[in-house]
Amino acid sequence: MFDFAIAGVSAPISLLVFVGFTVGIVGGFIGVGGGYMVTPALIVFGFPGYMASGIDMTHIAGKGLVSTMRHRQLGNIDWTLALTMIAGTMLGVELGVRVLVYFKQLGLAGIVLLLTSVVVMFSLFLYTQIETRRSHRQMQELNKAGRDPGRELQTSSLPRLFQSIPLRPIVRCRTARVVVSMWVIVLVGVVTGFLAGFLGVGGGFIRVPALVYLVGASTHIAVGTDLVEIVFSGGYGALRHSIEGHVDMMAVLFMLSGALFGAQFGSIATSYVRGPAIRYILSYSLILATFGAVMRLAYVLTGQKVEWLSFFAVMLTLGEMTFLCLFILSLVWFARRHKRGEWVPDWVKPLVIS
Amino acid sequence: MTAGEKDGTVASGNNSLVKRMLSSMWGYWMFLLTISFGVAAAIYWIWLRGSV
Amino acid sequence: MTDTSSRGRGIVKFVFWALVATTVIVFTVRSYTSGQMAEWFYHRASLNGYAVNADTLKGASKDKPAILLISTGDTVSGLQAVRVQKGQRLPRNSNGVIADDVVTKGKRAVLTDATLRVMVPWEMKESKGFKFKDSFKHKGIVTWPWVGVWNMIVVALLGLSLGLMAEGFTDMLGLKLEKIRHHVKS
Repeated sequence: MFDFAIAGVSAPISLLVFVGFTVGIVGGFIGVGGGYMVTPALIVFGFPGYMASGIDMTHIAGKGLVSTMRHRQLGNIDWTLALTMIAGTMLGVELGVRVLVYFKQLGLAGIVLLLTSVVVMFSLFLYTQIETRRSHRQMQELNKAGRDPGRELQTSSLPRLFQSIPLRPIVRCRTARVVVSMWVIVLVGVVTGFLAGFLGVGGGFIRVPALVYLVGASTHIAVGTDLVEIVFSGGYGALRHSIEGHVDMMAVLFMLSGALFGAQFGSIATSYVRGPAIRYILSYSLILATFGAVMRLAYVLTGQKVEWLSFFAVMLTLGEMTFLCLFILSLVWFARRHKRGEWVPDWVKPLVIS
Repeated sequence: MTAGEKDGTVASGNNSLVKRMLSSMWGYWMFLLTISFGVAAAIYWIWLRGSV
Repeated sequence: MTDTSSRGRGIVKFVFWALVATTVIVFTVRSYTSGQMAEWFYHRASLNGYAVNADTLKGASKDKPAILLISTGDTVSGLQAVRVQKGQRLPRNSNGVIADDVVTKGKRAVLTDATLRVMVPWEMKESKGFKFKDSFKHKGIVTWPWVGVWNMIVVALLGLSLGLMAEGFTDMLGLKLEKIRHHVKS
């Protein structure tokens, strides 16, 4: 146990390092900051709510930098896309925070926040899961026909719709191989930033699907590019939280020590898999986070009397991180086996690079 | 392990049970979920009991 | 570039950035453990009240209230409370301010002659569906604004140095990470 003088709690160092490590793997792989997992976990460890958010945001900024550098090496960042989106993201975050403050003044912030989390995450899960399963099936058919399915396949028609919007200026994103109106990119930034600011998260779980299904970037590029946004939005959030005194730097350091290794594994793991594998992990993280939010919402709505709801929310938060981490590591293990010609389940073959 | 066992064309004893479990995506999902919640329960029991 | 020279560069890269990361970590830990960071955090009072060390109030209850001696000076030691006005520098070792209106209400703390009796040191609050203990710690305080900049510099330096250290490590081991060839089939 370590005595965090500023946060005013004693918490086990190993748990903080574990959280940093697991969320580092997940974040590096699917391009999220992991705030929707980390903040509840820190509250469970005893950190006050405002401190949990501040510590999480600050560690996300640092971890985001580590992941971004590795993704840059892998060629997963489209800088044109990233830099065009930043202004929209910042504006969206500021708007989201102001709307949150408005609901706080009405005394409705807690319930509205949880309800919005449930609706947004469940909708994203549904769309991502359905589209990814369709892509997975098509890749399996291509595999059976002896044709290479390529690194990415996606079946949504939305990107073509948004790419056909003729509003100038038109931007050429060379790495993503996308030609699209700048206003589409800015709008994606504003909407995802608004949701992020309102929900108090980094926004990766909204931005990655938006980049894939609205802008038409490949999943790998969506992940890498989103991490650049997270460095900026996380950095801005961390600055604000630090000024408010919501950050205990020792907690941040412990989490970063785990995140250093986790972010490396997660980022490098993307080179072993195809796009649908990343989208599957993203959709699983969304549905598990939705269950956690539903339980916390039910706990609040029942007047905090049904204690087992709170207990299950704790279990779900910790179990979710471990599950996603294990799935990612096992995909890498399967990929290496497949490359060596060893047995892997049929459903894995189209998801990994051989 | 024989060459046939290595590439999965011939199932051997325990391996066939493992392979059957891994062969379905949902089966694998449930398997990992069980382990994960086991780990969560262990973390709760060791460190967080009484404080939640 | 030959494999040997790229491994050599990897070693230099790894060692240099590992040294930078270690320096940043040691500097941060020293600032934390010496209490310097706590002083930056608990910098000024944001309202009128009594500066206290909330950690000393943990065991207090209605039956066994914590009795704080009202004193003057620039340090709070043990069960002491120092009167502060809004904007005033907080005394050393204090980490929260019990506001005047809390004392006036009399439910959590009561002023009696030269002492402040604290009966309810914390309340259960809820955030995002999780309960937590909300004490007087961090209440009524203003952090030194430049702490935000300092934290950002530390985190940015740490993120950068750890990331480059990791790159150096993989170069050192001769692990070649190739750029992914992206092409979307739809």
